[in-house]
Amino acid sequence: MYSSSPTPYDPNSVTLTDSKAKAIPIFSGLWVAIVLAGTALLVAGSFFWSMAFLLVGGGSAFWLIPNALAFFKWHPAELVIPANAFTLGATQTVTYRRRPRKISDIAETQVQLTLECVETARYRVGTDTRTETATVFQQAFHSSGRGTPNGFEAPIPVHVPSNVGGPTLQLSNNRVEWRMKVQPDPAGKLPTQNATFPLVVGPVLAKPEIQDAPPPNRDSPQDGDRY
Amino acid sequence: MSGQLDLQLESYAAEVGGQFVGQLTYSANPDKADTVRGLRVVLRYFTEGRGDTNSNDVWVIPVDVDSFGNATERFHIPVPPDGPISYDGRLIRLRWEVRATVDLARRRDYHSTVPVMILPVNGWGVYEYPHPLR
Repeated sequence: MYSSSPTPYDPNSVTLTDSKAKAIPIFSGLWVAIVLAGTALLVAGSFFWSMAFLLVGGGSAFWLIPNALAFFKWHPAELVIPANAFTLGATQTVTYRRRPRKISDIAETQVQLTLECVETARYRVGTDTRTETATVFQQAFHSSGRGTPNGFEAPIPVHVPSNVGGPTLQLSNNRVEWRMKVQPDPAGKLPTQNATFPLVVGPVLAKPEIQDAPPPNRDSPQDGDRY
Repeated sequence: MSGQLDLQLESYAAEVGGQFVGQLTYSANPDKADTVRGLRVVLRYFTEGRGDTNSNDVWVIPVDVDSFGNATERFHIPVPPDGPISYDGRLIRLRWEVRATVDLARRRDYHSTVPVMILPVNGWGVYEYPHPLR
């Protein structure tokens, strides 16, 4: 049995919270309002509008109810990551954490983390602004976790490649962004909704990469250089 | 041309947090009475590729010109510790250059530009081309 004790403080790590979970109470309130409005219109005799409201309410229930149930039973998903930015070519361990709101048993569960690097380019065509994205890297990492005094915890080693993607870049028209999507295995007792967390990759190359890399061959540009 | 602008660097690559060392020489043309309003060396980056260009002059060094309109300046330009690094992605390329600019009164400015490469920490001697590693 595990309680929902507060997150332990660790100066060497940062805890990210799934921002999507904050929207659940808002959507729940909207859903209740839509269903109440549909019911009120039905009582008032406006059959067409009541059906429209109730259809919207019924359709959104498929998405909302599992999320709302998870919200009321569990705290939002968290990811504990090292406090420093991630390093190109290095493997670092992150911890997926889900704390129950009430004391409960948590069985061992498989977790999948998908690491993505996305380039986003924004450009103007006439008076329109268009955005183009390209996922330049995507890889899944698997691990298993179990109940701890802090709730369900799954440590997941994540490797940031040095041969694709680049350090995080945030310019107004050009961005390179990394994110981690975590999803528990449906066979476990945990909610299976995706949780997405941003990742900052710094302009640092892991030292072991240097040993595998080709030796330096020059220090000045030559004909045919691509820059 | 109104004068001779010569920009030399000791190295054409540097890690973030490092520096570029170089020398700028400007010799005015004695046959023309152009007034040099300013002379500067700039470390700048710019993007290429699908998106609209982002560019930034991250370091500017003004250079003094003597009474004959000539200048010789040895300079050290620090590279920002947080980058960005030179990058060659799918939609985005990010380039760096050191540019010397002569600002002439009543005439078009002219430049001397040297492309450089900014590497991640521990990247010295590893990269032949901008990140990512090949």
